Amino acid sequence: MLSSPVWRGSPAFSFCLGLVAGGVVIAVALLLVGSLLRAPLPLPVRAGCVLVAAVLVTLRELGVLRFPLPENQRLVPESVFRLGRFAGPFQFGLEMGTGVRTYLPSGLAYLTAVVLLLFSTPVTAVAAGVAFGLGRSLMTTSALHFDDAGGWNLEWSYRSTVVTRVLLVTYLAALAVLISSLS
Amino acid sequence: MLRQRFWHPFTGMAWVVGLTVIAAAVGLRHDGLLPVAGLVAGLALTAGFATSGST
Repeated sequence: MLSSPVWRGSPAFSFCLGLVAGGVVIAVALLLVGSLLRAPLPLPVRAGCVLVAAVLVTLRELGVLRFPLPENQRLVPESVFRLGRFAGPFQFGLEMGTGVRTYLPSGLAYLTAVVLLLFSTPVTAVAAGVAFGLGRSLMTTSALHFDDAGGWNLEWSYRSTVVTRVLLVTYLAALAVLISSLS
Repeated sequence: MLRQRFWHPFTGMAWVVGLTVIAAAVGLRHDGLLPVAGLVAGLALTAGFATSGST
C-alpha cells in the first residue's frame, strides 16, 4: 500500500512525520515507565539486564532461538485515511511509529526499548524517538522512490538477510560502546 | 538505474551503518550527554530501519 505512487508528496511527508512523532511518543512513555526501574536498580544490574536482552535478541535474530515477542499482529485499519491527505497518513504513521499498534518484525526494536527503559534521560529518549522514526521513514522513502512498480519490496526480499545481519552487528557494536561509556 | 541504486536497500543500510559508526566513534572519544544521546539515536536509527521490513 505504501509503495503506491499516490503516496508521494504531501501524504508521504505527513506519514514520515507521524512515524517520527510515534517514535517520540513511545520513547517518552518508556522513559516514564523506566523511571520506576532506574531508581531502585544499580547500574551493574541494569547493564546486566541489557546484556541478557542483547544475547536473547541476537540468538533470536540469527534463528538459534525461537520465542514470540509481544506484538500487536494487526494492520493499522484503512479507516484512518478518511481523515484526509495530511491527517490520515499522519495518524497511520503515528500508530506505526509507536510500534505497539501493528507488526514489529525486528527484535532490535525491543532491545532499544530495554535500553530506553533502563538508561534513558529526557534528551536520549527524544533523540531515540526521532531517530527510530527517521529509520522507519528512510525505508518507506526508499520504497517510494525506488521505482513505480513496488520493486523495492522484491529487492528487500532478496537482500533482507544480509541487511538485517549487518544492522545487527552494527547495533551490537554501538550498544557495547554505549554500555562501556555508561559503566 | 542510478535512481534504483540511490534508493536501494543496501544504500539505506550504508547510511544507517555509517551514521551509527560515527556516533559510536564519537561516544568512544567523548563523555557527556550529547555523545550518549548520539549513541542512543544511532541504536534507534538502526532499529527503526531494521524494524520497517517490507513496506
